[in-house]
Amino acid sequence: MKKLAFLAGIPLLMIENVNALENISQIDMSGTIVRLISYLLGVCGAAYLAAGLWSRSEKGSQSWKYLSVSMILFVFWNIIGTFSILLDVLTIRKSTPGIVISDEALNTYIIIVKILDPVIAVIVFLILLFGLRKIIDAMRTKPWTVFGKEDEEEKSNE
Amino acid sequence: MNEEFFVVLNTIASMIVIICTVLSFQLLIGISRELKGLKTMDVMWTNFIILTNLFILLGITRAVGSICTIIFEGLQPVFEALLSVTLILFFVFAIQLSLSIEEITE
Repeated sequence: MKKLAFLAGIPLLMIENVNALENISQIDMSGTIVRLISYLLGVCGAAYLAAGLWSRSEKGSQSWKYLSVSMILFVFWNIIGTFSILLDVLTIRKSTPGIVISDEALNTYIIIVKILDPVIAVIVFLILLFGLRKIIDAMRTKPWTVFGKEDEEEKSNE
Repeated sequence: MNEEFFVVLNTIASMIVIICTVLSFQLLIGISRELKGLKTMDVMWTNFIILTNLFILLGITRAVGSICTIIFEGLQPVFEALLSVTLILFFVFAIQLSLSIEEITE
C-alpha cells in the first residue's frame, strides 16, 4: 500500500517540477512536454504500423508497401518535430549555466530542421496519395491481390 | 539563409500537402465505396479508414497551421495543440490497425 501511495504521488511531483521549470525558464514547459510526448507516441505508432503494413505487403499485395514507406518517412518527420522542440527549448535556455552550445551550431541545426520538415512532409503525403491510388486500382481490377498472395507473373509486371 | 526563403518553402510545401490530402481523401471515399460489398475484414478496414482520415487531418492541420502562423503568430499554440491531440489519436488507431492486420496475416 505504501508503494501504491508513492506511485500515486509521482504525477504531483512531476507537476511541481514542471511548474518550477516554468518559473525559471519562462517557457510553457507543460505544453512543451505534451508536444514532446505526442511526437514520441507518433514515432512509436507509425513505426509499429509501418512494420505491420510491410509484413502485409510481403504476404499480399505490393501496394501496401507504399503506405509502409510513407509511415517510415512519417517516423522521420516526427523525429524532426521532436528535435525542433528540443532546439526551441535550447534556444530559450542557452544562457543557462551548464548548457554549452555555440550560436553557430544552434543556427545550423535550426536551418537543417526548417528545411527538412516541409520537404519530408511533402514526400510523406505524395507517397500516401500514390499508395492509396495503387490500393484502389488493385481493388477495382484485381481485388484478390489486396488480401491474398499475388502470382509471380503479376509481381514481375508491377 | 534569410527568413523569406523559409516562408516561401513552407507555403509551397503546405499547398502541395493540402492538394495531396484532398486527393487522398477523395481516394479514401472511393475505397470505402468499394468496401461496401465486403463482409469480411470489417474491423481492419474500419481502422484503416479512420487512421487514414486522421493522417489526412494531421497533414491539413500542419499545412493550414504553418500558413496561418505566417499571417498571425498568435494562432500557433492552437494548431500545436490540435496537432498533439491528432498525433495521440493517430497512435491509438495505429496500434489497433497493426493488431488487426496481424490477426489477418496470421
